[in-house]
Amino acid sequence: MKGNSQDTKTAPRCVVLIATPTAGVRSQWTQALKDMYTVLDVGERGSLDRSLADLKPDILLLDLALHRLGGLEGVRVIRQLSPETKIVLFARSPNAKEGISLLKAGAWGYCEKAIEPLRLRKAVLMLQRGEVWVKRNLIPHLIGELARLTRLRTKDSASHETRLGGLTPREREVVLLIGEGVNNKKIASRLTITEHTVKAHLTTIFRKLGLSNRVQLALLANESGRSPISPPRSDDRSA
Amino acid sequence: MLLTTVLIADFEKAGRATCRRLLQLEKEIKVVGEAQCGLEAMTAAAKLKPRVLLLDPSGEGEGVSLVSTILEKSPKTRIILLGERASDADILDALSQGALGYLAKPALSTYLIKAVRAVAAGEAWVPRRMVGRLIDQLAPGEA
Repeated sequence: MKGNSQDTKTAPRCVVLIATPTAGVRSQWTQALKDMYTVLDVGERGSLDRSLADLKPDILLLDLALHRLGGLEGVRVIRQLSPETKIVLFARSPNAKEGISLLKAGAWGYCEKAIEPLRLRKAVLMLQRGEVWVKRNLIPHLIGELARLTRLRTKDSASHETRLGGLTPREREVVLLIGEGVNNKKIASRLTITEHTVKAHLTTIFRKLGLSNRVQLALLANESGRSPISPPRSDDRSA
Repeated sequence: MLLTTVLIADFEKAGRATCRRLLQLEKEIKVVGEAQCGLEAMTAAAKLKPRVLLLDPSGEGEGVSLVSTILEKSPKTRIILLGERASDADILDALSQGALGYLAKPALSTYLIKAVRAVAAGEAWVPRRMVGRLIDQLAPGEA
């Protein structure tokens, strides 16, 4: 959750890592922040990964132009390297679509690379306080996305059974077991598949059903009752 | 000059009067109507298709579900929710139905004009802390 704030007066000096291939930007941003923060910078992906693992910085200012970053997927990977680090992404020309997908992937901020030093200071301060940093004009798009998802969820929840009908028989077996509260390991042994495969099934199931975690899935499985999801046979018409 | 039409929907007479008084001072803003309850707000919005609707949903216990109903009747209207002190959950609920702003009533005199102009221009008007909450709603949890 992004609501937690911390007292910036008593907290230890916050560590900010800057990652951009542009040397001029590295020095400009460092200048802007170094009186308030411990600032480090890197210019390429390899040293970014090392620094993240070693330093676990509080804040990472990450240029999307960083060589071999790998876009959204790269951001996910970086997040896993240091989950507590708040990441702000910088794009040469930000757009709403990219911003929304990055924020959904867990970024704490998204803005233009040509940000003024004073604004950058403000952004870092907001992050320290537990707030996200996005440009105002992105907010209506965020609201639009929320409204879209809400409509989708409302529509979907009206037809659980149709939704489960879109799953393969094996996926439905997994849903059934999740509904019974069985963990991945046990699901794997019951279905004689590897745990890895169970996870892969779950990923597909979440995507197909528009869910985000197994609790939601368990609820859905139970709401739908047993008949629509149990015995998966070719002549099963209940779906 | 492009006129921004505003409909005021508040069950309290004082609330309507405050909004009207503040909005009247602006040349490019025109109050096109007032509504005293949710039903009236809906009918008036459908008929007048205002650019901006100021909506206090607390009157009849209809709550924020009014937002989606009104937007069905007048999809281009931008809705700013007015409240005494709405909870984050209520604000999120309204936004998820397509409202574009929230303004606490005690802040009306300071921010009403700014908020109306912002939503009329396609921006949103929400407290800064709501942006994080908004993103939390969008982000998928961990599997």
